[in-house]
Amino acid sequence: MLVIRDLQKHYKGTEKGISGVTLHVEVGDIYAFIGHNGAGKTTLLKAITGIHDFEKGEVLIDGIDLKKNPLEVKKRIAYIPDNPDVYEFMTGIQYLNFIADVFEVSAKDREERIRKYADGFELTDSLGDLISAYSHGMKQKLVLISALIHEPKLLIMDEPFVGLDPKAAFLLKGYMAEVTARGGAIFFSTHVLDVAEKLCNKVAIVREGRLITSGTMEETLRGKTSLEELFLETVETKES
Amino acid sequence: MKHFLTLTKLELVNLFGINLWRYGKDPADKKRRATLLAVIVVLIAIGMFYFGATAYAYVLLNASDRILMSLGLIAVAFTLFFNAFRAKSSLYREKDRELLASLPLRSLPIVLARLLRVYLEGLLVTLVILLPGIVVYFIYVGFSLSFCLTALLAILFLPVLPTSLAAWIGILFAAIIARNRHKVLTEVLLMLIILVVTFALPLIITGSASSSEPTEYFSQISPSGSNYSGEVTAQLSAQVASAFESAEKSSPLFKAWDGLFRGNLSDLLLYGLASLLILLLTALVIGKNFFTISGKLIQGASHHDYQLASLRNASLMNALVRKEAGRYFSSGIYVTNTIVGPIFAVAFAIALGFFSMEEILQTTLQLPIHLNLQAALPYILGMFFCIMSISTSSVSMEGNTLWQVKCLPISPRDLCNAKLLFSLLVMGPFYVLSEVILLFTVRATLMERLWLIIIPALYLVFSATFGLFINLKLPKFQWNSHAEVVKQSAACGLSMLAMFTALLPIFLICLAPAEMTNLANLLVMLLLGLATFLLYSKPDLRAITK
Repeated sequence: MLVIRDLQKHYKGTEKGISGVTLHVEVGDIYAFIGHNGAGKTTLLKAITGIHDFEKGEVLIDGIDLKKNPLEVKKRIAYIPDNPDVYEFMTGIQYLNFIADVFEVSAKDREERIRKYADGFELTDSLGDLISAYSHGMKQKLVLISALIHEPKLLIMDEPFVGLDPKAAFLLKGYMAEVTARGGAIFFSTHVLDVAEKLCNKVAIVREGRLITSGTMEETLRGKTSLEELFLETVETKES
Repeated sequence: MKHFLTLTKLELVNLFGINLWRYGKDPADKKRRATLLAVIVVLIAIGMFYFGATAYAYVLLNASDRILMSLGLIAVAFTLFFNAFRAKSSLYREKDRELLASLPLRSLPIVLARLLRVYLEGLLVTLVILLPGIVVYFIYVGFSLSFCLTALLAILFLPVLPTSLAAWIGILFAAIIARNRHKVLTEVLLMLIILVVTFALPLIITGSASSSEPTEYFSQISPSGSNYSGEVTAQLSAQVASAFESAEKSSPLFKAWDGLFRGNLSDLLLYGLASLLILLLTALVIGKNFFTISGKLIQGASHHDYQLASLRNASLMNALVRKEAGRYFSSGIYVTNTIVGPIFAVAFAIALGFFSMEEILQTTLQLPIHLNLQAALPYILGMFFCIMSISTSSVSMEGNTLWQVKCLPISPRDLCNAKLLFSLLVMGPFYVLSEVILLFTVRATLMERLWLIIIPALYLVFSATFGLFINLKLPKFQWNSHAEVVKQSAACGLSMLAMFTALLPIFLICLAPAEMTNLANLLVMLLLGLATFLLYSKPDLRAITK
């Protein structure tokens, strides 16, 4: 589903960025991407969604090269940023309609899906209000709905659980499972290691822009009691 | 006091972007800032040259003792005009409201620091206007200690009163907008009122003073007359002196103002102290309800009563244009800044039914030479659509939502087309309305009518295309308020400068013999068409792709 080969992206004038990242996300995967603050998680996510350009490497989504055919790639993915900065001048329903128009979702489908997800997240009542009046959590829910209404093949999320109430977080896990069940995949960054350990079948750890380890959760955790232990150990080993 | 100093430092760092200059590492950002700085320097240089020339004219007309008084009046008017527009957003800035409200700070130091910032901006305007006048005075009249001290005090004190007045306008605006449900519409209407008043006042004043016959006044110094002799100078000096005298007689306020710069220094000092007291009083009044008003300004109405009805789908272009419309009409300052030109175009078309073009232009622009104004009409109409294009800020306005368009399956070209289309859709009705009105208010031959339709339309399209082109080259995605994008960005500054250049044909056409007009128009049409085509076909899309 997602193939990243030798990806390199550095910000101009700084050392920050990512180098030599190679990663494979298969159909049905729920892939956690973890690392300390400033490790390069968001940079990688933004590079594979076409938000940031990259200097070297290759990104293929559903077999399509991001550099060569970005529009076709973007039709197959949905990205949820860590900070839900959306068009505050729109109402919730206008925003969802806008996203549905961009992805050419039929009126019937969008109505069904908005009803399903907005009711689930208990946001339907507020869809007529301006987004500028939404709380952080409400914006996060809105972005999640917008990501799900076009049924993406690959869902890319940056810290998706931040700002969500427990019920919404529970629902999101269910919707993630639905995406994989219909032949999609999920690649997301998180600091909540417990959730990653329980929810994901694969994990990758990044440190200072380089991939330290990646693979199935079972293989990666072999000999360790938890993902937390592995993460702390890996980071400390490299630091020493 | 300690808080005031800390907050003032914060304001100054924000005002001049010192931190960005010192610590910013992004080369593209440095390039943008350097461009903005260059544009500001050029605009300052143009301004200084203009006011230096004005001061020199006073010297020639034996009225050098009026330089400081006249330029001081202009400085106050300019400071008031610029600050009044920005007072609400400067004083009741939304971005850091929550942070400041959560800190153990009293509102007075916050307000004082913000007022100081507004004052410093006014001081800069005052310097640009007064400094050349002072230099001209020293060169042609001679250095005098009393003039030097008066000038120094004038520079320091003059911006204080307009700062206070602008702040009161800001308070009034904020209070009205905060109470109103349709905040943007209210803000736009209030700003338009300021604009109309600002432009109508000089028309009324100069109109009433037109008994001194400005047309005749300028026709005497026209190059065609070439009679710029000592006799004429003496005659003009007498006219100017008589104009000042009559103004002093008719207006006690004018007399007091004049007296301020002619009397002893203590008068000016007294004026300064009184201005400072008013400023302090203003700060106290704003400080009293600062957080209440700023809170109400950002309040959005939540109804929580939406019921999902049947939805309709639309084409990508339709969706993108609606997105642009939503953003545009959500920002009062964006609408006001870009709608002024088209409104003036309509007003100009209407005015032509009542006044001749010579009357309108000589009264408003005080043109010093005789021009073939009939031939210039299409260009003057076109000029109104070039004042500030919507597209000049449309890319920057994406701001922190840029990620959205970058990760959606939208081609950069479609996004740009939507921005262009929206710009034309807003300007279009004003253009059509102006043209329809001109059918009734202007007599023209078939050929003249044709140019009157084609040239403004070309300028309209060119302005929108150029605005988008320059904004793609110099986008500003990091901003705290819409004013930073719409008024203070490099793209806007450069766009204004370039538009001045694009409007140069006005002067050439006006000066050209009448039989050359059609040929000249054809040439301009081809050049504009070609430039628009090139700008449209070769946009630099890196800002929204990289």
